[in-house]
Amino acid sequence: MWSFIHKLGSPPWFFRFGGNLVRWLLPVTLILLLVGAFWGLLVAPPDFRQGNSYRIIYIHVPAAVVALAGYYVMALAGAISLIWRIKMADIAMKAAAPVGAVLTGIALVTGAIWGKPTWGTWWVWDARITSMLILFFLYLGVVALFEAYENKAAAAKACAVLSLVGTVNIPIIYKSVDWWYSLHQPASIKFTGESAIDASMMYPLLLMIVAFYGLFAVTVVMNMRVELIWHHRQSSWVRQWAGFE
Amino acid sequence: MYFESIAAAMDMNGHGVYVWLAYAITVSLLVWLFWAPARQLRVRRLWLIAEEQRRLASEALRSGATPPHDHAADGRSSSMESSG
Repeated sequence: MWSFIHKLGSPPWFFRFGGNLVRWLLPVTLILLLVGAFWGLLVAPPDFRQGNSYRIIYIHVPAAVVALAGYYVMALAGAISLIWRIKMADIAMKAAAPVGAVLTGIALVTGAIWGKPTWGTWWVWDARITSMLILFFLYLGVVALFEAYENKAAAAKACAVLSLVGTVNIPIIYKSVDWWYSLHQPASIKFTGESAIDASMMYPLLLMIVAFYGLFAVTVVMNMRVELIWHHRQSSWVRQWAGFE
Repeated sequence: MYFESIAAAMDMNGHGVYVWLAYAITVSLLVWLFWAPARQLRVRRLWLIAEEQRRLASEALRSGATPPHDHAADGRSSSMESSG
């Protein structure tokens, strides 16, 4: 176990491990996405109140769930980077930020499209939606901050602080539908107690959530490999990978 | 299958526009998410190769020999420096 964690910090080992991981996880993720989307779009029954517009749930909820979980991953990498100064943590943080931004963007855009037929409006300044918009800006802030600094260590430090401060927003997003009287519906799937969603609709949703987690892992590892190559372009293992030496 | 025909699946009782638009936007963003790092890895590998060729050429120049000039590698490396 400890040797595995030590290996994670080794750039050439992680580059190879990441390549192997992507090679099998990428096709699995794509298949899960296709099956989940097919099931949700064409097989699952319509909602008795919202009709067919609810089918957006199969991308909206997974994107939002993974955007939130991804923020914790990024903030955790930020904490590791601040405390132990592990370079791999900086790289993980930098790799996770654009993926999180895209997932949050998907949640916001599909939410707006779902809102039009359901609430009659594209946008409301509701607690859940506003806090998700803040999450979007936090992710973009980390992306921009990494680019803003010439000095890599200073950039990583600033991004780590920003992402850690931003974690305050995550419980607010989770609880916003309970704390404020909101237009946004509360969670349908509950770990404790009965879910407010029928099994015929829940299985494709769970499948899509798993698929989006896979998507997050694959794209973050792909981004990390690009970063690793660049950081270590002078090293012999990168030169070997590029085809000389 | 819930829908009886392709037309019904397209229309979704009037909600089809919203549903298919949401899925289309998501698919295009996800394709970009997968494609961008795959492309970057390729681009950076080419950059490294071009850089290595440049290094070898300058070494050859210093040792007195005239290196064969590779115009293609020059153009590639200078355009990649700005993107890297």
